[in-house]
Parts: sequence; C-alpha cells; structure tokens
Amino acid sequence: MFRPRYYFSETFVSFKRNFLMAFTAITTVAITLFIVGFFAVLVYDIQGIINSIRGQVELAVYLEDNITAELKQYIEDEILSWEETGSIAYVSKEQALEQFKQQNEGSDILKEMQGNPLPASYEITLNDPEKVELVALRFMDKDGNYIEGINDVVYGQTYVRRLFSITAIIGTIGLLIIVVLLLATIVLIFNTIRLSIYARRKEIEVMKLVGASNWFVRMPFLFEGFFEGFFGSTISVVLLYFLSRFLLIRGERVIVDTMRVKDLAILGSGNIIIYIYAGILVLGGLLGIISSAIALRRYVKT
Amino acid sequence: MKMIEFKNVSKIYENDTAALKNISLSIEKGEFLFMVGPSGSGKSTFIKLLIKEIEETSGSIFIAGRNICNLKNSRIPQLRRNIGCVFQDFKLLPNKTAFENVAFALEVIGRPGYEVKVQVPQVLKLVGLHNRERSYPHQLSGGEQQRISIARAFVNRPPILLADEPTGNLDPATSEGIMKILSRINLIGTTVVMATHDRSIVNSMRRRVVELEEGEIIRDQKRGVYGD
Repeated sequence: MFRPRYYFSETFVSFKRNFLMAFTAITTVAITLFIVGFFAVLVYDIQGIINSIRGQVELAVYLEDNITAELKQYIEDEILSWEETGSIAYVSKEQALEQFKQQNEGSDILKEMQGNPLPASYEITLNDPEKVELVALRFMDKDGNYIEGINDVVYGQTYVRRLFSITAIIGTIGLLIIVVLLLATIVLIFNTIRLSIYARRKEIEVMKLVGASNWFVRMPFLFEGFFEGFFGSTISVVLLYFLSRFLLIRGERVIVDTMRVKDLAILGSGNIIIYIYAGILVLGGLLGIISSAIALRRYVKT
Repeated sequence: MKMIEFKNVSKIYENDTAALKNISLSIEKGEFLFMVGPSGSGKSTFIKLLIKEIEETSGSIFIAGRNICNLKNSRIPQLRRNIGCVFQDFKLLPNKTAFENVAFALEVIGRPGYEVKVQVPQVLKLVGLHNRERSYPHQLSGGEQQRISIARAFVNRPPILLADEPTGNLDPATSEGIMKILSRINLIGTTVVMATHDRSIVNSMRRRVVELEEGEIIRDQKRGVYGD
C-alpha cells in the first residue's frame, strides 16, 4: 500500500521539479534528430538521382554500312562477353531512320534527306558506368583509329567525365553533412543530459551518503535518459512524417515524373523512410541512455 | 571491542598537501569521541576516509575488525549503511518533507514500506520532531534541520555515527539540543565521532578528546577539554 504511493508521488515530484531540464533534453533530441532525418532523406534522394543519371550513361557503337555479317556477329559476341556490359541492343539502319523521323516529325530536314544516311549501331548500357571510357577504348587500335567495321563510338565524353566528378563531390558533401550533423547531435544531447544530471547531483550525493547501491542511484537516471531520448526522437519522427507526407513526397513525385528516378527515400520500393524513422528512434533512445551512463560516471563510481 | 581502528594512516592530496600524517588511533564500541583542531588539521579527512569518500595514501583502516582499504567499489554502499553521517550543511533534499527526507534513507537501501512507516516516526520522536514531519526544510530552523539530518543518519540504526561540525552553523542553545540527541544516540550503544571546534561543547561534555594539528595527533585524553 505504502510503497507504490511513495514511488508515484516521488516520480511526480521529480518530474515537476526537473520539468525544465527534461523538457530541454527532449526538445534538443527532437530538433537535432529531426534535422538529421531530414538530411538523410535529402542525401538519399540526391544519391538516387545521381545513380539514375549515371545509369543512363550508355555507349553507341556505329557500324560501317558495308560491314560483313560475320564481322558484325563477331563484334556482338565480343561485346556480350565483357563483364562490364549490362545490356546490348542492336539498332538497324531502318530502325535508326524510323527513330530519326519520329524525333524530327514535320521538320524540313526530312524533305532534304535522300536515302538512308543513318548507320546501324549497338547501344550498350554498362554495369559500372564509370568504366565507359575503358570500354570505348576497346573499339580502337593502338594508333587511336577505330577497328574494322566500326565507324564511330559515342558516349558524350566530356559530359560523362564532368558528371562523374560532380557526383563524387555531391556524394562526399552529403556524407560530410550527415556526419557533422550526427556529431553535433551527439554532443548536444550529451551536454543537455549531463546538465540535467548535474542539476540533481545533491540528490545523488545524499543517496550515496545513506548507502544506496550504485545501481539504485544509476537506474532512475538511465531510465530518465532513455525516456528523454526516446520521447524526443518520437517527436522528431512525427515531425518528419508530416514533413515527408505533405512536402517531401511532392518533390519526389516531380523527380519521378521528370527524371524517372526509381530509388527515392519515400516513393522508392525500398521503403527507406521506414528505416530512417527506426534509426532515429533507436539512436534517440541509445544516445539518451549512453549519455546518462557517461555523465553518471562522474558521480557514481562502478 | 575496537569499532574503528587507524593503523599508520596517511593521506596526501594530489597537490602534495599532507592532510593526515601517519595516524594511529583506535575507538572502542560505544565510545563518544571529539576530534578537535583548527580548520585544515585533518578532521574532515578523517571522516571522509571512514566512509571511503576518499582513499588513504598509506596505512590501513579497520571497521569492526574488517580492513576497509581494499574494499571493492560495489561494497562501499554496504559500508555506508553501517555509518550514519551528519554534516554542517545538513544535506537535506529541499523538495522533500522532514518525513520524506528520513524515509528516503530507508527507501534507497530497499527497506520495505511497513518498516519505513514504523521506523521514521520513531526516530523523529527521538530527535523531538514528530510534530513537524510534514514540514519542508525551508520551513524549519537550522537546529530543526540538523535534527532531521541526524534522524536520517540514524534511522537504520548504524553502529557508528559520524558528525562533521554538526553545530557549526548553529547558535549555542540550539547546539546544546543537538548534543543532547547525540548523547542519547551514544547511550544506546552507538559509537559517535564528532569533529568540531566548538570549545564550550567539548568542555561541557567531558568525553574523549583527540586533537589534531597539521595532520598529526598531538593529544588524546580520556575525559578531555578543548585545550588551552
């Protein structure tokens, strides 16, 4: 009869007295983890867009009109045997003309065209788009001339090179932002919880004085740290949910419609946003409990 | 039976100041001992060593025949449950009533509720504050607060009670009341060690006096006075 009431009032009084500290800790966790989550979505989406653009890098190998069937077959077999090759599509002279006509419908250029000047080609997509230059070089001999049967190899040389350096930079910057944000979050949460324990050091002192066991002293603070971290991260997940539901998802829709990007945080099939939510909750709880444990070491020796 | 025994104990703080120099002293069970000397003579260090708030630099300390020097950290709480402590600044929790402050000492060592319900009013009666159990520390006088802190120190009946300048913040009349309570606790068989530099109290009690000066015992008298 007596004890539950004691503990209830104890918890209530403790919460009332420490309300400001607890409130500070919870809002700190909520805001910092919300920002981390927001950037996680952003960086993931940017990475998705980049990957999708990189995936679109392909190689067009134009064939001479007078190429023999054997040589053509030989080239096709050769291309298929490379491990870099993702897929290969043959576009005949007729198909090329058809495509050209479609693309230039109603234009004067069609009237002036005589016969079919367009070459047949192989369109190659690569498993690793960054190997595009390496693959292109295989169609050349030592002197830099195209091998027999090949008229030209096109892959947007300078454009591809620039794309890869830009994507590398963006990827690094995104990762850097996340790391810096995470570090800032850890430091902020740790400091806030340390302050809230500092504010109660007198209580700890008295507990130790009357012989409370170390775990008895530690337990409520660890619990409180976990509670603050978990509650704060729950708030940030709720905020992030509404942000993604009403704002981020619209942006992603535009990206999907215009760029055909498949791998996005919210709209993607991987349900990455769920993992981000879960990660934030786990991170919040863990940071709370670990911060408390570290901060307590000053007051409670093991 | 020796309750407390110091054998060649020295304590040198990190800044190289020697607080205690090669102290040997034994205190019998049920004894009442005054530890006197000017500030910085080592009185507080003596008390902190007993509750293992600090570690001795050399020597050994025995409590009830047990060497506490190589006590594991996890065993320290057990040691402290057997030593009640009273300080000059009371160390009461301001958000708890007199009753709750005393009950807290039992709660944190896991005593059951019915025991708390019986023990706390008993010990509050012993210190003469059974009618103030609902008051908060700020509603009590200094003397009353100190009596609450004695009640808290004594509520689980430890065999040893340490008091570090318990009357340091109190006027002579109030101090006298505190001394009466400590005497009463001592009469029940509790070993009491009190550090003080209150001349009139020591002189009026006529108990054993150990005088420290710069970390050394310069006097140990059975029924002593404060000194010249």
